Amino acid sequence: MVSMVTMLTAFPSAVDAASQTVTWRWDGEDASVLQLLQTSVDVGRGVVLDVLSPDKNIALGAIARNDFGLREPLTDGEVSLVASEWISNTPNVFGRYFTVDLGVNRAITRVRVRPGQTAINQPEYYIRGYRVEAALENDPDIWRLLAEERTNFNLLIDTGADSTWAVVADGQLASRLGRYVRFTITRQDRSNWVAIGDIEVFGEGVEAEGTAQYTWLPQAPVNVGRIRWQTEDRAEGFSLSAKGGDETWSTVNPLESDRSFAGAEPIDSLQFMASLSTHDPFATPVWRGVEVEYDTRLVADGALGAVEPNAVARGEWAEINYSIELALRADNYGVDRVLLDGTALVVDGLRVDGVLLSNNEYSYSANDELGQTEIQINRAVLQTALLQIEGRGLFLNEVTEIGFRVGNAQQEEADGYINWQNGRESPVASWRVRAQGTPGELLGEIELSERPFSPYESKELTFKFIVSNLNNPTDIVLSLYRLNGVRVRQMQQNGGARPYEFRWDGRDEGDRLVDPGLYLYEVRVAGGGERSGRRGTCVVAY
Amino acid sequence: MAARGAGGEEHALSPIRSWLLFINCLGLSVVGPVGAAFETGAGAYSTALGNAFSAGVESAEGVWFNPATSARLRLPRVAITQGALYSGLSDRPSISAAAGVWPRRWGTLQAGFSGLWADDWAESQWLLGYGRVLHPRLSVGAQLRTASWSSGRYGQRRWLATVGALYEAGWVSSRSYVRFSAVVANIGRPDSKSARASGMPARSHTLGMQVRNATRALLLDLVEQGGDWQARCGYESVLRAELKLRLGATVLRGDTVNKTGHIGLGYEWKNVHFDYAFSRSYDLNDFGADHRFGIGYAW
Repeated sequence: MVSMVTMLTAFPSAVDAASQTVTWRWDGEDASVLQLLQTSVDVGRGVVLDVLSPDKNIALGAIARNDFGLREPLTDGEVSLVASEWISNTPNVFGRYFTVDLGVNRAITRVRVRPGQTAINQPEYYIRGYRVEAALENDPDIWRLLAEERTNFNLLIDTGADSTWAVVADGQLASRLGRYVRFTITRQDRSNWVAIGDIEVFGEGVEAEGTAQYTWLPQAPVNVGRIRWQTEDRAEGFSLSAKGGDETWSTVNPLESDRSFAGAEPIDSLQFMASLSTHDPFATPVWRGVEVEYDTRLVADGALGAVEPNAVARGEWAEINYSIELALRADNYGVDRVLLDGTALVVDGLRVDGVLLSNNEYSYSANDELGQTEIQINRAVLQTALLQIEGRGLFLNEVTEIGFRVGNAQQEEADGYINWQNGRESPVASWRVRAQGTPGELLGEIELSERPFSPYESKELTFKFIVSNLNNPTDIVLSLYRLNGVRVRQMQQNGGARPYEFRWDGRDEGDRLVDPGLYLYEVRVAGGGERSGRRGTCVVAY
Repeated sequence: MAARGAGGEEHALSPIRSWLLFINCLGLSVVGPVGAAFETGAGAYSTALGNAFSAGVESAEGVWFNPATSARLRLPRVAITQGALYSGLSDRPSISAAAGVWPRRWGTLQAGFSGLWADDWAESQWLLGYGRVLHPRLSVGAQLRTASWSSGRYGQRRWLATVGALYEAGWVSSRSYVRFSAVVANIGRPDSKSARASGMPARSHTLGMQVRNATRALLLDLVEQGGDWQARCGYESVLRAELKLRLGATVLRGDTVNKTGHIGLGYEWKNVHFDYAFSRSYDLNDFGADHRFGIGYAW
């Protein structure tokens, strides 16, 4: 039975606002609201991976390779001529083998090798002798015997039907764990070729992966806040994604609890997709339930954002104007917080309906590391208005998407955290900025704050530089060496194309102040190839 | 007994001329702040051999490694080196070093300096020393050094002492001549622990040996300095009568490990020898190589 609990959370009476929480628990019998794929509901526990059917071919769709490492169409479920079978084209087949990668360790109970269409038409193409082995995920080179027939006369090789299965435990035929299954031809006939159609593997335990989906339809558009979920023990095989309306899936990281919903808001439907997976064929993660905080009182009825210009010079400071069309009703909180997500801007001005606010009417902070700019407006915008942010930014990626969120201090005070309402891109303009021009160097010039650096006078020596042309976040590493090559300190940041700043306090890895001297430094972008590093010297003196 | 080729002929040289040459040699070095072989090695000859030179008696550069080695030299010698470190850097440091020995009847005088320069950084080291043969197999030596560095308005200077001994084990086989060395360097205040805090070289302890014959030499040094350990190894082979190939390797173990390979050539023309050393760190490969050029003269 699926129980649905909606509760109103109590908040200080002085604040006329409160978020609500809705909880679903999947430990009941009725799973009709869930769309299950290779998963099922275990009464009293929750959503689990399905028990594997003994007739299910778990090799279907897996990668099969021959002894030269080339892919063969032996796991497509077909045996047709040319496209789906393997023909030896020579009678010299002794020692030829095929390896099937099942993806994860499975408990293998049976292997079946179907003849190719050629062998069905001409039965002398059968396999004269074979050996079937399995290897574990962690020991891919240690092969353990599953079945062996040195003199075979069957066109269809089926270890479940013949007596070749070699794995026995307590006198009973048993399964064997393995990720890789290898089928080797151990006998040949001088006059005949061999044709193999399909290699099928059967097992026991549970499915390796599965999904469960659920769609929540709130009665009115809501601003979704934090999402929490419960799992049983094996949380590492579980991840949850959520999306609203026709948005694309955005993964909610299960390792970070209480993370807010990242899709555009407000939403009138919220779809969850749980992914369950296991590396142990006899164990399954269990999804017990999910809990969503939401607010029917919106920050704004709607918010559409766009930026101008949409093209700037790469790596040069560019003036931009970010516009947010706010649609507000009387029952909305109003907007006194704006977070631009995608770039750290120097904000030069803020206009509300064209009226320039003075510097003491708003404040802002920019975070290079997160690529965010947060603006706090002293007096909330309570009516429909056009918000214009004038600022300067450095654009290094080919395309930078500047999303935005709006928030309200009253809501933050009521709920204890700020439930950002994620804005949408304007349908008539874009919030993307394209950086044009010749790509700069991956790693720009490195600026040191002082030379010589005295730790007693200045607490930190800063290394400033810009990383460009980096599409995916990677590690940026600063290493400091004595002149004789011994490393004294290494620092690391992770990020994409943006300005970086490393601060060194003059201490080594053991927190000891380094000696006065000439030091070598190296800044390196991980995985950036030959031109990914810059090196120089710095001086410590005191 | 000195190694073959250490030089047996005595050239007549007036005392005044000798002093002039000696002072001239030092004068060449006093062009700006002078020299530090603290951490990077000194001359081109010894660097090509991985700085495994505490038992090396073939060059005046030996004064940087063991004050006793000069006692085995029969002729006055000087050696000057100019080098550039870490060629991959835009602001690459440069190094200069010079050393001279002047054998007298009552012992050998020695002097040297090394200097290292980079943007806003200069460090130097001077030495004066004396070496003497106490016994046909045993030589000893002592030096007084002054080490200093300066950067902007900061700077330090310290006086340090170094003592060393060289033991001639002699011909251990018909083809192998062996000598051993022991050196304690940078004795003085501050002590080893606080020396580094002042930017000065910490006290070091070195044990070394050299095995050689007429055409080949193998040199090994084991050095402990301020808690760091360094193993040095060098090999020299005569390619032609006047041309020598030198190979070296050093492994320095501090908080991390730095392994460096060295290769060099030496060419002798009459009393002058020209040396070149190329060094590259395996662990700091991207920083580029060190290049040192040296010239030496024996009277």
